[in-house]
Amino acid sequence: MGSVTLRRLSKIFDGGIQALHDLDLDVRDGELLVLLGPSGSGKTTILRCIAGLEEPTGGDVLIGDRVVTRDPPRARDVAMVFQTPTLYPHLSVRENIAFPLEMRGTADAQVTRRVVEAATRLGIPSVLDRMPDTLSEGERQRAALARAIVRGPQAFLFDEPLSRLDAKLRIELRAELLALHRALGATMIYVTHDQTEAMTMGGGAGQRIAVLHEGRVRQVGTPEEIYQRPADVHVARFVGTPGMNVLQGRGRGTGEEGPVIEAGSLVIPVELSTYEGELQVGIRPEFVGLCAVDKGVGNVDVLVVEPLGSETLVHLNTGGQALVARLPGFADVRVGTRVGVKVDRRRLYLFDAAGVPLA
Amino acid sequence: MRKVLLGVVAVGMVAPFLYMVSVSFMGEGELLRWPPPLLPHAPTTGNYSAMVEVLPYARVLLNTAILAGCVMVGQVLTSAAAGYAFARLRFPGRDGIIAASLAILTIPAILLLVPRYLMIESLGWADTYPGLISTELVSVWGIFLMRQAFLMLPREVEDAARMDGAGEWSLFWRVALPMVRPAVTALALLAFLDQWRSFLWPLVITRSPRMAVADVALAHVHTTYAGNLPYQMAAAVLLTVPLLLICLCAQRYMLSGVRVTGASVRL
Repeated sequence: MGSVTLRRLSKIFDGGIQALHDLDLDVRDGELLVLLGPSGSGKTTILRCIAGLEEPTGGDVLIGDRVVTRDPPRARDVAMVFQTPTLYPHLSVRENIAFPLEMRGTADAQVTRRVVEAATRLGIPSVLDRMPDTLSEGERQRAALARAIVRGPQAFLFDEPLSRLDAKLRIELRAELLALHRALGATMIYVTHDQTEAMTMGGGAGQRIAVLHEGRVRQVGTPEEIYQRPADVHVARFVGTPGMNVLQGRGRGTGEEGPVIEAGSLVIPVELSTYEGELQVGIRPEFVGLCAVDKGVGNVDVLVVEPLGSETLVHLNTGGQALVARLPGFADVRVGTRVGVKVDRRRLYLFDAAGVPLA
Repeated sequence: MRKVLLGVVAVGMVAPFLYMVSVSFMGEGELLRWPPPLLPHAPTTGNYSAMVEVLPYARVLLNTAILAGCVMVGQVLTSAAAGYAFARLRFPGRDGIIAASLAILTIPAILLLVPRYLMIESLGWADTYPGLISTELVSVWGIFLMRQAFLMLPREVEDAARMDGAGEWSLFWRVALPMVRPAVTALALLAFLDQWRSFLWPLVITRSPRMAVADVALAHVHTTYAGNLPYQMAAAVLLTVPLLLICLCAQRYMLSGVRVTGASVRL
């Protein structure tokens, strides 16, 4: 197994769209790193640059301690599993799994043995002689995974491999992937836009999450770190279901109530000493509460109520800005009414106008 | 209504074939009656035995099969390779070359007949198999058909194959080509059928009866026995039946191939 290192990696596509901006990333040997980011954040481009399917415009890709930036995919010894299970439709499952070994000239006896081993590990030995079009979606993705592990590459790249599966199967395969990571001790890079998945995949020992936004790595850390101490406003917004509320506001230090932040229709007392001027205030939905009008830090309009059973999400309008409150159980809130808002002042995140946290 | 219309068209297509078979069993004078009979009054196989004696039947069939078979294999190989290159490889002037190749299709084949003849003649290949076959081995239409088929392959399969260690050749031969099998089959069949019916070029480039192909042999029969339609029809049946059998067996593949590749035409 090997580490994967990206040094000042940049990628500009034809037409001038810059997908990656001087990106640095270290994936340690044997680590499972989850690349989390919204669509268009550059996750897949990073994977394709590591794989050799895309040539970076600048910077270097290292696998182990070897610079592979200009090497073709087959010289890199990494395996990739795609979003759509990409089996060769004219080959049986057995032939599909054997394909990478055959491409490397592995001896027949060894091919036979390793194909059965890989299929057994993924729980699909019974479908080895079937054709891909007769398999279920889950079996197809398992076969694609078996094809990836069969040759024991230095690193595995997963490009949202579970996003097309139904919820139950996704949870099942996620657990299997984690077990596979433990069993193989392999370096894995797992791309997803689903932060629940990121939290699950990046939550174990030796596992981290890298949050991407607009082609830049905003933060690398454990799920707890990126949730509790977001490196910037983009991470704060993106991580969490729903993400953090971020309101545009202004700090004012000389009011009658003492230092306050005015954001939308809210006036929130704060304890910071340096907060004058434009800033952004972040509040996780679970720390937003509702109360009677004029009893909280401001009044808001209820736009949408989403009762989810264990909790209710209430979408609010505070002076033209959106605010979401997560309330336990079924909350008695009516759309179109006006309510007061309470916030837990100890749980506020303050960012400057550019989105960098204020100390 | 649609079925009735299709039925009428089908009868219109099949009737001449059936009448050809019917006439081939008639006596020489039978067609002189008015109105001409639909079915033979006293069916005879005499026309066939006469034609088998007159025509070097086995030789004509062999020549036609060699021409059609070689051109089929040649066109499939050249079209697949060029189609793949145009669809999947990046090289300078690629799109210009495609456009120029397509422009060739607009030149009537008859205009190229004399230059082709002069070239083959100067090579000393007139009245030989290489002369008959060589100029037919590349088909612009075939290249375009295969290019479209390769363009329709999902990129991810190609990426997966590259990740699995496939080089450009393995990618073409082991992954892409098997995946466009319907288009390959369609191209092979259409090339074969087209060459089986080839007339003008074989007429120009071959001289001796031992090099005659089906349509040229049929033309000889037509001029030699101008007044004997049953003879002509018997010869036509003899040379058409193999083609008809191939068509009937392979029509499923032809349709699926054209359907697959015709679904999306991009340039």
